[in-house]
Amino acid sequence: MNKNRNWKQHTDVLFILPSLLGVSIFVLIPFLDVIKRSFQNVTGENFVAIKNYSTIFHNRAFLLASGNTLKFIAICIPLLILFSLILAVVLKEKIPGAKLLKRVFLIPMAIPVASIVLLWRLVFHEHGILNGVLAGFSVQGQDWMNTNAAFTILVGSYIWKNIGYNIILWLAGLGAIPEAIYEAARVDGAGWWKSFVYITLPILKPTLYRITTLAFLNSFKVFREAYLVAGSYPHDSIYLLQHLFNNWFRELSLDKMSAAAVVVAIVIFIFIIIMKKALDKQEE
Amino acid sequence: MNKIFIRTIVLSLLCAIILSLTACGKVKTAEVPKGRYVEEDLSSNLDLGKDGYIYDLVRLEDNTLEIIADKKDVPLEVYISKDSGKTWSKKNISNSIIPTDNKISSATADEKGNIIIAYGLPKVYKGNIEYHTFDSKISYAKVDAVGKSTPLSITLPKITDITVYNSLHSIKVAANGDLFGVDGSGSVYQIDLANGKIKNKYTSNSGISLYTIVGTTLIAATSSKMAQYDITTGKALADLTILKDYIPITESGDFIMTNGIAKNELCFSNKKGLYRYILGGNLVERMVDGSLSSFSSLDMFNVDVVEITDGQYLALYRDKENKFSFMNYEYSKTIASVPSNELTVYSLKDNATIKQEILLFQKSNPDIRVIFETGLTEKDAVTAEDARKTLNTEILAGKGPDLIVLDEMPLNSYIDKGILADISDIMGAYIPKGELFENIANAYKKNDKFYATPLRFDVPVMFGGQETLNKITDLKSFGDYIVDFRKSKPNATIFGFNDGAQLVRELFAVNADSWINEDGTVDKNKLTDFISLTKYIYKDAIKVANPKVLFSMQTRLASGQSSKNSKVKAFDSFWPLSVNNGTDQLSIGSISWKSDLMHITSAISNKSSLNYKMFNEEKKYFEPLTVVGINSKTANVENAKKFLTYLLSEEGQKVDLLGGFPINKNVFSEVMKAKDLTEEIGSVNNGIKMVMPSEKQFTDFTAMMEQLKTPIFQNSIILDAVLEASDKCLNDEISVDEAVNSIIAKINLYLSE
Repeated sequence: MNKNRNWKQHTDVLFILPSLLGVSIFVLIPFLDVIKRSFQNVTGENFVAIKNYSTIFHNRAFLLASGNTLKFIAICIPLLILFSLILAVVLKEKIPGAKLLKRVFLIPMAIPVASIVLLWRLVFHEHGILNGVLAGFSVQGQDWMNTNAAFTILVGSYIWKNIGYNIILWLAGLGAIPEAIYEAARVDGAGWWKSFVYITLPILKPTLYRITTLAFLNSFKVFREAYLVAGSYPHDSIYLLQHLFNNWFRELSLDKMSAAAVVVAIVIFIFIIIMKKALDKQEE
Repeated sequence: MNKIFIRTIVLSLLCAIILSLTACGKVKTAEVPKGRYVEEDLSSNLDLGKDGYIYDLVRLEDNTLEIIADKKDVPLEVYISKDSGKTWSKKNISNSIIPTDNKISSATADEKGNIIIAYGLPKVYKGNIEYHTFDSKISYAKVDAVGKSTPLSITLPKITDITVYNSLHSIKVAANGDLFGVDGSGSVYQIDLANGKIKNKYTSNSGISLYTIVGTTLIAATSSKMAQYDITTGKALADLTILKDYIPITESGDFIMTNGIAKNELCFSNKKGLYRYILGGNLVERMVDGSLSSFSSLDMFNVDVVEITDGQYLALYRDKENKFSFMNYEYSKTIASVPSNELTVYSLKDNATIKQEILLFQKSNPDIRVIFETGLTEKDAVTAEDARKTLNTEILAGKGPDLIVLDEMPLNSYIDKGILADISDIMGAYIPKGELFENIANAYKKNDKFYATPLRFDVPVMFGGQETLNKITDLKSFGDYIVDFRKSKPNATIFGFNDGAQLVRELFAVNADSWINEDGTVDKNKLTDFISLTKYIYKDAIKVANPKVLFSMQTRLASGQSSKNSKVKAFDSFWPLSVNNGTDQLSIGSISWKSDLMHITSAISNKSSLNYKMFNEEKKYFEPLTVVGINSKTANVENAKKFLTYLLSEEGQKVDLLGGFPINKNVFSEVMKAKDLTEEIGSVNNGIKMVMPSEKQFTDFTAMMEQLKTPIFQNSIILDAVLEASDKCLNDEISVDEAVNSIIAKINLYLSE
């Protein structure tokens, strides 16, 4: 019996081994090099202690990019989770219009980034469609991507592009809830809202953890759109960490880049740990 | 058991990691394969002078080589060589074969040495470059081995849609004795030499641009295919699809075809080398590698190839000044098939000068193969920024190029980050001897060490009346001058430029360093002055520009030719002659060729009140061109230094395909004093007779070169930010303040990084 349990543990390790090897070679070991470089000068010849960390925390570009990235995440993720949950419930409850929604909600995911970027340019350029429409109402247009409106456009685009994926995740969670629980609740006199609040939401908490983590990691990908539309130096409001990393790499500022990468990794790690702890606590 | 298993797993993981990290370890060196074609220059054996022209190079049946040529005052000259081109002797040919004032239009020889010539009365066009065409009737004659001439009666059908006489050019004689040639419509005619009758006509929809005869097969190259015809029946055979990729429409450039010695052997060459193909076969064999021979040369073109003996070739080249040279290609069994040392040179954009330098360097260093890489090619959609990042990745991975052309690259960043090696030893070999312009070489000197050096440079100047030049000392005084000038001449043009972006680029290059503070911030007041004054100058020029100029400007912008997009040089066109005729008061541009100086000095000789001066007498700006540095992480330091030493040497500095003056003083002096520009000297341009600058003018100009001290401001990110905002500002889409704020936002962010 004991022998069997030991063997089972070994097979677990064997299953993990290929991925672990890949992740070690392509992520963990290079990251160790990044950590080492974060304490060295740009050529990697001298140890500089925490000078690089001190430099980035006094670097205006890093502070701006970090602030924008955090602001973007703080606004986008709650909105994305909320809207996708609402739409997933609409789809599940077969409310009027759900059929049409079911057909179209994945379309934004299928549109290539290059096409989205082209669409942005057509719509938000100073001589674009939006300004043309506004001119019809005698409203003065502007170069939207070079104003504070750029941030709102970026948030809207991120939610529009990713909502379909999150709907699928929510639908998977919703589909896993046994219908019998709802029937029992209905027999006890619970309405739709009470069932949703007291049955659906508590059961969906593990799904919430997964969706939040994925949305958090996906939020970094929005850089592609921002970069393709406005280049290396977009409007201040959409200057994200990835812009900075991109520009530092162009200038070969490996010292600052390594320190910033370590800081970002720590923040992401802390976020995931907090999420995990919160979930574990709920499950207890 | 459990512990042992876990330890085994951990150990295997560690082994895998260690192996993955050491995968690039030493590999047993394989034996180097030997054998390749070697190029030998035989040009000195036959010098036809500057006015000699070679019409054909032919191998006769007894392996004698024969050249049919002419000179300015000699209508027909024939040279023969019985030792594969090592020595040439002139054949006695009567000067009266070709009537007075007539000239050869095409000539060839058959296997027995009989010469066939086509000649007529040329129509000469004299201008900057003299050339001639043949609009009148062309006559044909056969000159036998003893020099007896027999006229040939050849009449071609008229081409209905053109009015000139139809005649043959690119004539050749096949082994069966028939004459071949291409007519004005691009058709090949096969003519019986005995009676002058047309035997066959070979046509293609797109016209035949080049042909040769291999045995009884006519191979004809069109713009899209390689066609085959049987000359015994006149019928078309299947196209040679295997050769499609080599024909002239490809990027390979020059394309020459000839028959080889072996049965059914076709030889052809392009920029990538010399090839051999046996008709009916499935293999195209490259005999000579273009990158290791003159086939890839950019300043001379392969015009003929002859297989002298089995596997030995003689190629004829012509340079841009119509000077001919011969190269012999012979297989050597002892030389490594590929040079044992490799050197990689990287340039963001294609650079003809560097490519030519590589070719010449390889010739004198046959053990080194230099590979030229460009970041931006026309084939893919890579942006300059992507290309720079790819290069950075390679450099960091230790796989970067050995030598980097730093034009439009983050040069200062590379110096600060230790990417560029210290090249003080190379510069130290030249500077103490006074061989380089030290002031130019110092452009990228930091902490008493040299990290990069420009190979060439040019000088931004203003040209105009001395009185006008005295008034303009900086951008502000430029604005003041315009205000003052407008009081007396409200509608006169002050100076010309292609578009607003060009104006911004030029003024930016010689002003930007004044509004960027040493602490890495932007001086807002100075930037505002810069944008305001640039806008004022632009608006003033637009106000008085004539409709033709405005239309041309708008057309350029509409077709996407804005100067915003071209980043080769900060300063573009320079039209000093328009000042002389009173059209403009000033001309702004850079002196980058001797002819630029000649235009200026000719204008000054014509009107003594004119003069030229540097943009800023205090800063003394110059524009560094083709800046090079060595990758500090290269393992190939010695060869990289050898190449850089060559680039700075007198031999290397003589190569000039992109313009700019050489940094090597001796070559500069030689170039300036050379009695060339013969086509321009004496001609009249804008009412001014072009004359060589006088000794004093040369001396003054050289003295000016020695005073230059500040490289113009070059930073593509700051320039892009300024161009983007100023474009809108000049066109009144945004105010000066908005433009300044937009520029500052971007630049400060960039500088704060």
